Amino acid sequence: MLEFHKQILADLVEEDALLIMSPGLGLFKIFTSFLDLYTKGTHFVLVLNANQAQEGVIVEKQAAMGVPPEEQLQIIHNETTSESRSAMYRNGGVFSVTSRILAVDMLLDRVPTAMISGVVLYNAHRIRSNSLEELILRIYRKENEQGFIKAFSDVPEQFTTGFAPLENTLKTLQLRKVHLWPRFQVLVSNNLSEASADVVELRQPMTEKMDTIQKALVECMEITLAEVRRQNSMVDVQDFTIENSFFRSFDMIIRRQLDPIWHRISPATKQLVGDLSILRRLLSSLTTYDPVSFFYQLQMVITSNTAKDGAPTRQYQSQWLFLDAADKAITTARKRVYLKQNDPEYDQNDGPTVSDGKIRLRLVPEELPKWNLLHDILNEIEQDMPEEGAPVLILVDGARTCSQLRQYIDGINKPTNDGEPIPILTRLIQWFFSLQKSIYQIQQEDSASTNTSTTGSTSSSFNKSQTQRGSAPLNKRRRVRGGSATSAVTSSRPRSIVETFKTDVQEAVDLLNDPGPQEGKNENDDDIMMGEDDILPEFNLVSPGSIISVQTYDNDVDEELLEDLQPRFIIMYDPNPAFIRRVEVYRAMHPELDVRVYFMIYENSVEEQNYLSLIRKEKEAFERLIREKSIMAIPMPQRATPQQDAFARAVSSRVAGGQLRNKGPPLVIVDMREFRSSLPPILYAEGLKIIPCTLQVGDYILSPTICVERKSIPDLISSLNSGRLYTQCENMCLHYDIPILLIEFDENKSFSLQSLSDMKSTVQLSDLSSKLVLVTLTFPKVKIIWSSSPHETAAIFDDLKKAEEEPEVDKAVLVGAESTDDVNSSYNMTPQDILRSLPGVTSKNYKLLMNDVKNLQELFKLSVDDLKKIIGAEPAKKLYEFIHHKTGLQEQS
Amino acid sequence: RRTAAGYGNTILVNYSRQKDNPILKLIHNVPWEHDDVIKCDFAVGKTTGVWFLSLRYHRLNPGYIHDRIGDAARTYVLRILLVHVDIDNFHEPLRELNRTAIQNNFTLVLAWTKEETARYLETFKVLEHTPPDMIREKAKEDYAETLERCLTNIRSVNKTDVLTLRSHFHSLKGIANARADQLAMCPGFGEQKVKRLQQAFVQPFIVKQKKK
Repeated sequence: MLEFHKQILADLVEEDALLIMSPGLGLFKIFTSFLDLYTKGTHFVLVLNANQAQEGVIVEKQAAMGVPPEEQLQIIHNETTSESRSAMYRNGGVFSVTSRILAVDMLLDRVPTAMISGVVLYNAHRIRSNSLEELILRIYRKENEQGFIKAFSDVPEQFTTGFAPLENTLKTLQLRKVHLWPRFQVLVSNNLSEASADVVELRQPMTEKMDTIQKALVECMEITLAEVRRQNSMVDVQDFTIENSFFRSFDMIIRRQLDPIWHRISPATKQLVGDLSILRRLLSSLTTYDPVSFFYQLQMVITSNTAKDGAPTRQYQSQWLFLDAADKAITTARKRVYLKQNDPEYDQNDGPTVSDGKIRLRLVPEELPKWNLLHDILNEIEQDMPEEGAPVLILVDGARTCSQLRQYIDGINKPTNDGEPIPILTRLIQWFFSLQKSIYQIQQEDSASTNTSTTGSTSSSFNKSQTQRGSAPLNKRRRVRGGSATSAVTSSRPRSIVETFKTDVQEAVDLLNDPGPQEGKNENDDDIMMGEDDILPEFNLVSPGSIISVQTYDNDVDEELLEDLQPRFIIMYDPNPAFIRRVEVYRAMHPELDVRVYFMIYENSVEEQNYLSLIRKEKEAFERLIREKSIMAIPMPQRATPQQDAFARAVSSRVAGGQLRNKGPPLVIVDMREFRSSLPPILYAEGLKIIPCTLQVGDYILSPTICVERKSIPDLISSLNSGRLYTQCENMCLHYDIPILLIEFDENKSFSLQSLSDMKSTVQLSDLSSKLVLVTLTFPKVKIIWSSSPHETAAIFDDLKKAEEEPEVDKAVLVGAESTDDVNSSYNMTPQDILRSLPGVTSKNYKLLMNDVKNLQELFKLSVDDLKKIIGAEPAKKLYEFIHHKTGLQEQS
Repeated sequence: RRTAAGYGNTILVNYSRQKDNPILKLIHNVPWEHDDVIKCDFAVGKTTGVWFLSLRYHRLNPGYIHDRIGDAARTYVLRILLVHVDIDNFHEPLRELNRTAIQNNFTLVLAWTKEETARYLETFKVLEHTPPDMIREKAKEDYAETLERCLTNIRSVNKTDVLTLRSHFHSLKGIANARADQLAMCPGFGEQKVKRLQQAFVQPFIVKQKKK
């Protein structure tokens, strides 16, 4: 541990505080050291918000240090039963718990809250007000004023958006102190500057083609952005320039600006905002993906955003696809993979060609400039290697680059014929063409299924070519496509980008049937991307004993990585500011080691801009935080005075003329699933008693007769479309006298359903208001509560409950339940949502499936007969066919 | 004057009460006629009556709506309290109206503009005999759309990703059985997305808390 580490830890032990550090300075180290203080003895410490990977590392580290299993961090997740949880809490120790589980356990008095020695929140930047964490801390502080609260974060930027964000976060965390440890803090920079610096910074220019694509994509972004502003005058984006288009996430900024009226803006605008983020993602893929994958990704984006012929979504096609710049981008992206005969560059290159007789393509896959650079660095390292076997560490972003680099290094010293692409590119091209075939097939299938009637001629010719193809062995040279299609390709009439792309796909498909120079390798197409072994084979270029390790950046685990490998050479293939600091810390802790760091970055690229802006943003964030820290005023935490409150309630004049009623706080039964929303914490804060349990009908039970289904606006829209709301209303009407639909708006969003400008001159059945009217007409019994915010909801609930009996938990959970199993279970929503969107699955039978089958993977393994036994013949057939439907594969003959 | 035709396709308006209501002028998709016998303000169907309230008016005459509601006989199956939110400080009155409506068996409907208010009246009439098919579970669409809707349930998965998955793994089952390293090789799939996707397939539907 360095001096500043010790100082931070000492400060933290002394007083309750939120610790914010620069990323990479060793937050995780401090976090684990802090936990170690509480492993011994009879402490009861709860850790919130740590993710699985972090939990794993902690346990591993503790085991390595010889901490006996019973003193190690105990992990409670959603498969730990409630009985064993209660027992675990009673025994004490250090626990990492999911917030939802802990909140429920605390509300149900399963946790001896008074015994808690302290609560530790990791990733504190994720804490929002009215979140479950806030609820937990409220309950904790209500019953336990002695225990500590410590919060950790290394994402300072997150504390600078919104109004007085730091102050509000501290209030949420029930803390009054914040400790800021930026990289420029005196002690930190003194500690770190003692180490000698040997950093080689390499600025690699992009290739000309990469540059062209980058410019074209930025142009698309610019025009898309202008269009958003034209459609929505309130959008305010200043200083849009090429440079800051890279690092300023305009899509996010706009999304934030439009958020208050998001449910009211036109689909066209939504499409544009979506396009912006797609473009930004493409920009970053340009430098991180190899040319083949990039071209493929670009194609995927285009295909999926192109409406199928005759489909109603046509009007919302992405506008940027029609721009010249987009055309340029995709053409250039293609030229980084292969050239067509009519490309001017075709004759100047001498890559291998493939041909189906009519069209000839030349494969010219571009090597990523960084690959060559890496090669050079490795050569240099070999020369400078002080001793045999010095460890070399290469760090990259993402598993994908990691595995590619391993392949590349593996292939470096294998001889290739002149002009032939290096092995990794050859493999990628094969992968690419096999996928092209799938996509072509998928497109044909989709268009055949959507409009069999309208495009009879095309689909019939498609069928013909398909049967032709089906009869042909895969790797046999033959011409596939008929003359007419070929002439369409070679004709020079102006085409939309979509058509251009279609012909690209067709050509690629033909080439696959005609594998050219790769013939023979093609048989195991499918294995190409799966076969690569993760273990690097022996590496000969550098001395045989040296260890080259390619790893991905993995925040907290990186610290361990450096300690474990003790590398002498570190190559940062992708820029990562946090890791640079980690290396600094590592070097300061091991002054005896001589470490050299290579740092690669594409010059004038999105990557460079991103990197620079990350550093800048962090610095600005700390400056803001320091300022806010100096001026913020945090009131002393208010200690609840329950007696007063209870008295005010007891003599409420609205209830029976002010008669005393001594029932304690009003009670609301809340469905477990509702704990994803902010309403339960707010209800608690407003003084209502909430009891979580799994409800089959409704979300909130206010009294024996009142049942409430809560819908936020997006929920309302989607559940009206999916029909779920209909079923829910049906169920509520069946079981409760006063079923209520609660339409809850968001605190900061506009309180109105639709905008005047969107209103058509006649009644539209598809309008949200029409659907709502239909609900009231269908279910006259269902009442509607309109609430402008969750806080308002809490007040309305409180109001409604004044004249009502308290609900009974035991009865509420049984309503609509088919078996006792239902009562004692909780659900995972995403798998359930997926299940319910499958064909053959209805609101009537999905529960049967969930009870009989463990998860989706198990479901997919079942035979038709198995399914038949659960949901009956007809739905079973539908479901089975959907699961096993093969798409994008040619029929094997 | 209440004719059979009057209940057919016209909105009946209690003209003596509503003659000054500006929203009358905005009802143009459906004909309306006077009828001062009805208890409600607007009869938009045989069994549906609408009572209208402007919040601005309510603020000046807080007792009015209570009298009207109390006066309302149980003549209509569906009784709508249509409120025009035309003041900024709506929290207090709305909180009260939400409760009043529920306690008196009224369904509250809010509109924020005169146009929207008129539109609600029209909509109730137009949809009077419409079956609720629009809001019921629908038969599933074609394969591509269903698959897209199914997989986009997973956070951060978009339609481009669905297509990428289809071209790599060819069937829903194939996608579900794909290994993490295979998924990671798909362009557009970062670690987070791979994790979320896999979790969706292996996570149990139900976590049984007690074994009995």
